[in-house]
Amino acid sequence: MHDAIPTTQEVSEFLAGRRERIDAVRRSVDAALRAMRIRDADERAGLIQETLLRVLLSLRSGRFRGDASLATYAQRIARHVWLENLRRRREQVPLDPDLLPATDRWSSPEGSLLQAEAHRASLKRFHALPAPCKELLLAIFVEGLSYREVAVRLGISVMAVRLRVFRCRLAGRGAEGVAAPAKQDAAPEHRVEGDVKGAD
Amino acid sequence: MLNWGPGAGHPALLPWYVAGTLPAREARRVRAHVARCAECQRQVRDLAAQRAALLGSTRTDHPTAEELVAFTDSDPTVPADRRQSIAAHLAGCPACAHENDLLAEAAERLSAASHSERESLPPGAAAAWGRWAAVAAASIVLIAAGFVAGRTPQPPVPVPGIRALTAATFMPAHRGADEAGILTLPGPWAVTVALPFGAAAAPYRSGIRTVAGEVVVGGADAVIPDREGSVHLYLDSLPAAGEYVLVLEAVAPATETWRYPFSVVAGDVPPSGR
Repeated sequence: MHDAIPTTQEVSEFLAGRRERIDAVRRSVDAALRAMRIRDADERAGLIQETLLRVLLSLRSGRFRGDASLATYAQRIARHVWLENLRRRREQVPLDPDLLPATDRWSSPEGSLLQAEAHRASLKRFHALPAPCKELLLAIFVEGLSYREVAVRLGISVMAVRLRVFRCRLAGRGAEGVAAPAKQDAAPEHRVEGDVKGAD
Repeated sequence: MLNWGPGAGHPALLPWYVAGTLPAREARRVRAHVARCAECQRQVRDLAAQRAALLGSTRTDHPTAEELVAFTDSDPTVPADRRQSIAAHLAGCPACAHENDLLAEAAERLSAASHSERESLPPGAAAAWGRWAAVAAASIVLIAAGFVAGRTPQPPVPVPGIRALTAATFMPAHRGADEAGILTLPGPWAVTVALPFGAAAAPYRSGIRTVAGEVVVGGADAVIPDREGSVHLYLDSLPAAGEYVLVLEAVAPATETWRYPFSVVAGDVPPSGR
């Protein structure tokens, strides 16, 4: 924003519900959320509403120090809101018994130690992966992107995303090293069917 | 070596299944496969462990969203020792490190977008943009509402035939309102009424009643809430100072009614700013 209006006036106009001021702040928030690559209009609209409400409450409670323009302040709040939303979405993963850790691991100090050790080993395996695989796992697990969104992000087809997942899984097995060799007694349908190099 | 990739009959979507981001139908299909495939069960457990490790689910020292944004922005209000502890955390927590990268990349994109917006203006216009925008906005408001012109607040300029319009916002109690709204006489008023979260997205008919329930203003056309869940009303006049209730009744099929108590006070009392 390149607003020549003093910040105090911006704030009082916003609090007074002046349409032009609210629209200006809304546009700034929208720009910040677009920069976060939120392309879904409905999701963006929800985050804008949440952000404007937080801005309103923050201004009313006097938390705004006036060391930036109102638009800049609102953009910062938009980024909090986006990040909180991202974290909240991660926590809302549907409960699946297959994904639950064994409860006995949490029930004793030894169990907790084992759990922490397992986490460290998983992290080590993650760091041993090639960069494209790390990028893929972070997009899936941290950002919660769907496979279609991952395809858009990486600029490749959905099939190429699936092949990349496959390759990364193979790379992950390599990172596990000889400690966890692949099973040789798997059913025939589980054997490698062909070369997928160059797919993406 | 095992193949759970495309063409092997195993779902290639296991990571998304573990992340909980598959559409319901695909998730059901994957779940059904996993239930009868020992290899995929093992893969699911591995991926879940990987996810938990990435997200640092055994840690409790993740910086809050607000702290991380302030850290990314190099906000001087973050104390040096806290800055150090966040940096140390980022070194060992891939999820927070990734969030930090996303915030930094977005800040760069936003900055580049504003820069290119300025660059696209003719020479000299960029510097004057803000002044012109302010003047243009003020002119529009002056005509429409007799509001403020220029950089500093000025008394409303009377325009023949147009009365000054006072803006106000009414919030429902659980959206932060801690007191009733105030409208200062004389009207008219442009009132933005924020509906409670979860309110029906239906047209609403508005009315003003006294606290005792007597209808003061009624029979207005139904209005449709905007995308932010607010209804915009124009109130021409109210008979006298006093306590009133703004009532919004959803038009069928919804049957919700929302009430917003407010006061009308004589002039010289500053607008509530709400």
